[in-house]
Amino acid sequence: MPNDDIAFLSAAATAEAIRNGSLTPVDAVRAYLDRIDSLDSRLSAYITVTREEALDAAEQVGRRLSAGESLGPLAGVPAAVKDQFWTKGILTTNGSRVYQDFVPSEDATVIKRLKEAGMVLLGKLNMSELAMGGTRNPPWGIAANPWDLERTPGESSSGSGVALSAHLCAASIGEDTGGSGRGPAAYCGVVGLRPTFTRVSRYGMSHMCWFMDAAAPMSKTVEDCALVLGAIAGYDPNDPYTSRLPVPDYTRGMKDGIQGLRVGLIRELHNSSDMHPEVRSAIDASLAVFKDLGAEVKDVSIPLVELAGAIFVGIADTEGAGARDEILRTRPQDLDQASRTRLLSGALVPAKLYNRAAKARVLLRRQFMEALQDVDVLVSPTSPYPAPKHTALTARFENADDVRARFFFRRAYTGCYALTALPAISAPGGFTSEGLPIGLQLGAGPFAETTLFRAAYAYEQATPWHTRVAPAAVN
Amino acid sequence: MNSPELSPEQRVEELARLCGINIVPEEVTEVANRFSSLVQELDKLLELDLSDVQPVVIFPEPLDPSL
Repeated sequence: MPNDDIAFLSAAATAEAIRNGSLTPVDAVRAYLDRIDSLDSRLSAYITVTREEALDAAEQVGRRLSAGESLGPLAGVPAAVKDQFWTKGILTTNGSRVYQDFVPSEDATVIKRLKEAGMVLLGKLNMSELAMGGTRNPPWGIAANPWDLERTPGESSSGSGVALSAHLCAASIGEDTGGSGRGPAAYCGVVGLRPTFTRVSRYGMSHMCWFMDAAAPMSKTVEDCALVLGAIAGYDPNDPYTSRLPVPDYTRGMKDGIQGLRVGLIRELHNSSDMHPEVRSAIDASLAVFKDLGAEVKDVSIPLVELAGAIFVGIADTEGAGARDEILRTRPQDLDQASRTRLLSGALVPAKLYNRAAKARVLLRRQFMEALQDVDVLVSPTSPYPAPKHTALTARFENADDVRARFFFRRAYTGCYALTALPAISAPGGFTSEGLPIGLQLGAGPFAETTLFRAAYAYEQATPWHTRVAPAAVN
Repeated sequence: MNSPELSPEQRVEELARLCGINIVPEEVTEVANRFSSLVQELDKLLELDLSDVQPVVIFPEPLDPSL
């Protein structure tokens, strides 16, 4: 099989090809390594490529499968992870010069579980510094959006979005504090999930905001996302806050259709005058698809969601500044200017404002749970506009209105699910006339990932968006 | 918070001084823009009645009592 044919397979199809003997794990890894060699110099998806380790691991997986061992549904699949997760003996930078020499002595739990599932680690992926976003001079290059190299792939799991979109890995784990996984998925035309808070262990994952950080499966297809979540979810004694609820087979029922599913459009997010008109049209069109598939579609109101961006930043940046206090005081010069000024502003937030944001968060959660009494799935765009140019994202903030427009507005769309500890998925939801991907975001109640996958899969199969290939993915 | 006699830049410099944090002069304006915007947005929450809302940490299910 030619390298490009291998690399353009979904993770599920790759695993199937390995199981039926038409592909070996080593050939799968070589196909991706060749593509990384030829394409990544202009995409900067990877910080570290673990070439030798990947080939060794692929050989081992091949031997185990040949011996008849059952390794799970993703055995032999080449994956790459955001450089926020500890990897034993492998550089783990967290996207920052502060950690440019950090080599962990153990794997994060999600890495351990990927390996136990027989997945092969191709390397560590680029990211915004400390998972914050807006990095102006990333030490390992500016990750470029494969749909338009002058545009951002989204933040902070930028490398995950790029690598999947350009077919430089078959599956990925990003991280999502307030949209850092779903945002890059939307801008790059791939799938990203923020699982229910506590569903996946955070042990060995560097924190941005403890109260909202979540490991985020990212993939080329909805089915792949369900399989990856199944591989990494579940209780972990090293992270005692992980849920003890059993991990279901997330693919079970996924292909059964959505007849009778109650789908609710979040009115306040849809009616914003600042939303890009082609994004609004894409979401309207998605509602028609859901109706055609037999879902019951209605509007729901969550009044406080418009302020979710500010509530999110009020909590996350204050917490983040606290967690990074030592760096801020002793090594501020090692931080990127955007990270430094953001952390500094977070460090100055008065207690009464933080308290107000924390209370508003609880009220927002109540409003979401009330809305979820009437519907099974909530709908909105993942981002109110398609991927902006790099220059628009990293420019200095000129005034407070500029901050609001560029910083808080967009974060309301994804930050609301982080604030409410609820799961949400971003799936390809269309394209603008300029050929830029639009993300469709679906949210659901606590631990209702199976419902999300069922709705997203039905939509994906009824639309052509996931089959398009990014220009920079082609040699 | 809204002392009329202080500019946004002076306000963040004063807060930073009280917190014992240094902001280099060329970054004061950007920190002030970020901070002022956040305060303005969070001030919108003043319109809400949050008196019966407690600022509890949100978990999706009851926590294990041992934690």
